Amino acid sequence: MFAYLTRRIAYAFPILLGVNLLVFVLFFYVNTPKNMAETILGEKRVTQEQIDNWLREHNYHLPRFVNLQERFPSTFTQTIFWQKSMGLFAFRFGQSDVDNHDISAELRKRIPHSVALALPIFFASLLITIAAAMIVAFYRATYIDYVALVTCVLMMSISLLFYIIGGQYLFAIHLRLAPVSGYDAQFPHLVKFLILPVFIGLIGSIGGGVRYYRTIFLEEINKDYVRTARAKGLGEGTVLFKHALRNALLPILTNVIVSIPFLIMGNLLLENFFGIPGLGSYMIEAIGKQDFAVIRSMAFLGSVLYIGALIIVEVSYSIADPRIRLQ
Amino acid sequence: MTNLLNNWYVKDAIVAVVVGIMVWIGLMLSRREVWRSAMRQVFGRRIVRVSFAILALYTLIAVLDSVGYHQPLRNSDGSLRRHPETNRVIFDSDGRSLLDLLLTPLRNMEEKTYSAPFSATQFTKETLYDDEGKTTRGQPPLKHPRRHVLGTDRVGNDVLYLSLKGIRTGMIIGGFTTLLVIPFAILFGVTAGYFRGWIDDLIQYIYTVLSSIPSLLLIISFMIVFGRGLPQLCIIMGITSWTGLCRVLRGETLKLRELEYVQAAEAMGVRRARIMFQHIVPNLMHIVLITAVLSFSGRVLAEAVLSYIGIGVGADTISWGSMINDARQELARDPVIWWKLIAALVFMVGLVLPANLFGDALRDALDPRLRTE
Amino acid sequence: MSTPSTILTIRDLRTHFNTPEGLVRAVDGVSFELREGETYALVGESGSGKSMTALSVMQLVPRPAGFIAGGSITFEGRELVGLPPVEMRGIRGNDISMIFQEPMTALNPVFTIGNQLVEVIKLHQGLRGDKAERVALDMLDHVGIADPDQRLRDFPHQLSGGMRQRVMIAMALACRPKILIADEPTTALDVTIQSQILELMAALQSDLGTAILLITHNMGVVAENADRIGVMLDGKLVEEAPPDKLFASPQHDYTKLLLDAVPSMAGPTPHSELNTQNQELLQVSNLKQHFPIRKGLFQRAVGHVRAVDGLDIDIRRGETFAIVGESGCGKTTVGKCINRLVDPTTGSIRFDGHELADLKRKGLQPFRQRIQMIFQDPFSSLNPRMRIGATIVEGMRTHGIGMPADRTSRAAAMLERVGMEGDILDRYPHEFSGGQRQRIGIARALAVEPDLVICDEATSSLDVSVQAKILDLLDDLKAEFGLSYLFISHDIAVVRQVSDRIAVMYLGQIVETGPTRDVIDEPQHPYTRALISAVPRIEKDGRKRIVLPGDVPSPANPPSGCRFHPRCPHAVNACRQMMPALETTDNRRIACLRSGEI
Repeated sequence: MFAYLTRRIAYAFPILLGVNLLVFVLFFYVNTPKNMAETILGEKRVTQEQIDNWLREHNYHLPRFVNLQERFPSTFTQTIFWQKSMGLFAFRFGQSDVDNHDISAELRKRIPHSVALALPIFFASLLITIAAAMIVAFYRATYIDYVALVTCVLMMSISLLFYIIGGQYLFAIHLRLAPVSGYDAQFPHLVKFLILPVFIGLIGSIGGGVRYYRTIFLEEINKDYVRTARAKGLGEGTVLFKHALRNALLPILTNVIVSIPFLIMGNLLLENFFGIPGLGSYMIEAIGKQDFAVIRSMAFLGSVLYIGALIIVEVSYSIADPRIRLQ
Repeated sequence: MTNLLNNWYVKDAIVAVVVGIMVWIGLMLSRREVWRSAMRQVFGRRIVRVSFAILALYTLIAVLDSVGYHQPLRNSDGSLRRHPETNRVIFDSDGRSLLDLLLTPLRNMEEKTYSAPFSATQFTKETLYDDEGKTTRGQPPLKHPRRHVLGTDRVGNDVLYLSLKGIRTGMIIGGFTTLLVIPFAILFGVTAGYFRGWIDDLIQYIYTVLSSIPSLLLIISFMIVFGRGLPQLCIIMGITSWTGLCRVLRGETLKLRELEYVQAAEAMGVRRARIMFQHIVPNLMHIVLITAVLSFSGRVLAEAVLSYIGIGVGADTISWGSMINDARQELARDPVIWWKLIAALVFMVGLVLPANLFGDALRDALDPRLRTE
Repeated sequence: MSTPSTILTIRDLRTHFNTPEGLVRAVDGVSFELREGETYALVGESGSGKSMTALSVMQLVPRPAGFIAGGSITFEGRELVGLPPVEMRGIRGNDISMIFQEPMTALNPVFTIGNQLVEVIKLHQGLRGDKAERVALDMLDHVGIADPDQRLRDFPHQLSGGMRQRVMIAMALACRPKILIADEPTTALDVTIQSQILELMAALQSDLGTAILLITHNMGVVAENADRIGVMLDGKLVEEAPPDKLFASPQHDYTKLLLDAVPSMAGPTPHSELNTQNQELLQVSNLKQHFPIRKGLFQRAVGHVRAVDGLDIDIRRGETFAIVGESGCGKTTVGKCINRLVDPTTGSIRFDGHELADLKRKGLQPFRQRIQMIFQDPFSSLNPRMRIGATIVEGMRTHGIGMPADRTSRAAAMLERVGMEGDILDRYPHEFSGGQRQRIGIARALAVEPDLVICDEATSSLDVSVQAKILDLLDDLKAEFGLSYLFISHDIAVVRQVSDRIAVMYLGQIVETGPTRDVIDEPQHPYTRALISAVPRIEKDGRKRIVLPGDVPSPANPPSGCRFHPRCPHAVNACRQMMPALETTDNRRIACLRSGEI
């Protein structure tokens, strides 16, 4: 187990390095620092001097990979790559390109808000979709199954934008059951502001979830051990909820853990519409302001979380599935 | 590159090639008994036949909207305007499409600003002068009263016309992207799975790096660097869906290469390229087809979100996403201007729902065990 | 002696299936009865409806496609057809139990053996906690599982196939049911394990007085284990008789046909003449194929699976040489080494004077024509997306056989030669049955005019009547095309019928080799003796079945000394330390330290 983990984490490094390089190439080759300065300072009526100053201020005046004007080791450290990209490995995200705020501090401040929104959606939808999928699987190949399936496909064919706009209009503006938008991190108020976005997020995730888990259950239901369980005289409930569910949990586990990064990275649309100051709205603001440093940091953070989640998937598989021993 | 792709002639060529490929694939498949019998099963249900008909209609509209032409400019007397020196006919620099031509009445039904569906009057009030020169505040009558099925937008364009024009963008993002990606996914996925070893390691490394950046963040990074636009959006969405398909095809190839008919070909000494393209690829095509149809809808939905957050297609491209983006301010008004938003959403569901239903039917018929989310 | 009373009566049972191709009458009017304490066997080939009859009794016909369309099943006077599910559940696992073919998949992989065993005891006997566990322990002990305490905590994947089938039996018999339905209980098991399980079932039956409904395709198993036999064909019961009567004087034509097709273990072997003058075609010496097991941080090879571990064989022109052995003995790997689908670790493979073992892809090309292969699974050995014609022509084109224009007609001629119509070139594999596909596979191999054909379990997945025809065909083709066969099989009766010489493999090594007649009719090595005695047969020959204890050890960690010693009834101390070499005695070679003494 230890050897496995060490190896797995060691494997993650070249991947992260690849991500880092990819992001670096995108932001410093395709889009040169000079382009960046022009975008941020405004392309017209900007003097070369202003651009140079801006570049110097943000340390973008350095060479990209090798600085021949410096002595070793500064040859490599006094470069954009070292200063801007290697720091990401230590979670040093640096400063915003637009207003110089500290990105790490901003992330720390915002992550709890994102999680506060995403976590209830995550657990509620997990519970509801699995339960609903089991019920649908129980009525497999009947009219109930068919209607449920078509409903699911319909629900997942509708854009989340519609659920948000429609939900906001119906529940907040028309019925006045919840505030239209706004946020207060204090506990009792938090509920008031989160209830509608959570509900809408839930609606948006049900269709796809039920349909996916249904296929997993049906796959399990057709396996030999289920027939054995029936031949023992077990009731359909025990067969389904003990035998099939326990096996179906394995593929469900992957799905669940892989979505952990998205809990932290925030929900772009919901946060934006409901004015929740999480990472999702941070990103939208960064896009609006063309804040390259923020987006660069978020992309790297996202992949770190994703790779971390994949490792957790494998470890938890070895715990949940007696057949798998990691080595 | 952007300029090149925006050139009408290049676009025409691409459309011709794409339509050609689709027809060719259709013909190839219809000649194969295996596919024919699968298709009989797929089309056995009415809901699937209806879905397919709707998809075909959308495709037809998209194709019509992709065949472009330039109108010659005319003088006020109706004669063709010619270049004073070369005496060549001068063409309008704005391209039109066959769909524009068909929808000329709709396109020309411009109003001044907002009007509700089937309304006879303008939505907003303005100062009106009656015959006696007295001024009143009121809703002026429309130029084309009760003719705007879905109303008009802020600058008076017919919303039905805009929605129909959005189809092409949706179809390109959903469908063309896939066609762009499939050859690469097959080539890399099959090569990795068949040869294994360092080639496999390399290909796996590339798609693992690409897929470990959450796709939304990758798209955002790419779009913010390259700027908004349909071609960029297609390419980056292609890259994000490439990784998934490539992974699936590699895994499937690993399984197929152990099957007895591939072993038989190996033992026979059949060339590797032939084993890959005769024995492995045809047995993967159903996966490609199912994935293509099912990922289609995801991309159409994603376009709307991306355009909404300001990194989708450019402002000059009509798309459902940009229509929804426009609708942001309209919803804040009282009374609400809802028709542009609803039109975009309905047209989107009209495409995505049949695509999903059709994709599900394909999967049930061709490979019920294939898991898709 | 009074006739025992009937406990299960089936009358005019009809079980049907709705399929896309229309209604399938899987069981079409079957009537028979099962008496107390007897074993009633339903035999038939695939698709005869024998398993569906069993599932109908359990009311476990796969929903929603399948349904019982009519008839009656009465158990101790209760009608089971249409019985409310709640009542039926009280009968299942309690009064009527069932075990299945695949012990590998029939147990739930994520629960322990104990959990699954206790579950059924709790359900039907209302026992809780320690008491239920004690019953479970007793049951495991009863079915011959050593160290039952430990096994209760094991997961299914930690047990071998034979052990899992024992667990299944323990589970089925835990509530002392009146009827045990055994659906192909030994089909997935090796023959030595099969005899363990059959022995166990017989012992338990006499202990508990359970009536057994045995479903099988294996005539030998039926002959040795059933009190009465019902022969099924196309959903109907065509003949019913006690074994003696059935085998002595079968009445129905189908029964006769079936019995004729079963390869015999008695009488003269068909290939008794040995032609030692023939040239050697293939010489394999000291062949080893070790697959590394990687572990730890740097994935170093910490050991090897010794799939093939020092093998010598030689095949002469015109000969059929057979390799037999149980699963995991390495016989398939030998085939793959010879046609170089894998790279052997060490050893020499000389084919017609050329060394193949270290040739690369290009150098092998001429031999890819001369050595051909016929595969086991007719459903995966043909590319489903390729027309039959293209499949056969591909090889000819690869090796430049015939003029391009003639190849299609050659393919058609070859198809006709293997007993197919010549006009199927444009059709796809899915339109053909398993036997037909196997013929197409043979045509593919022979179209490139090979010298040696490796048949890897080539008839194992076929029904016995089809198998007989394919074996005849292979025999005819051998003479006609001057072929040599390397026949790899687990089926000793088949090998006895087709091969001239035979090698018996155990854990990657040959334990005995020689002329087929000598080795099979008078085996010398203790393993060969046990193996051959374990083969169920129709003929009553008064042989004593030698039941080997335990399972085949893992080839990753083979026992020291003679690899067979842990299971050998004759092992002495020396066997634990010294690995015996193959030594020639009379007409054969044996690897046993005690050969001659025992």
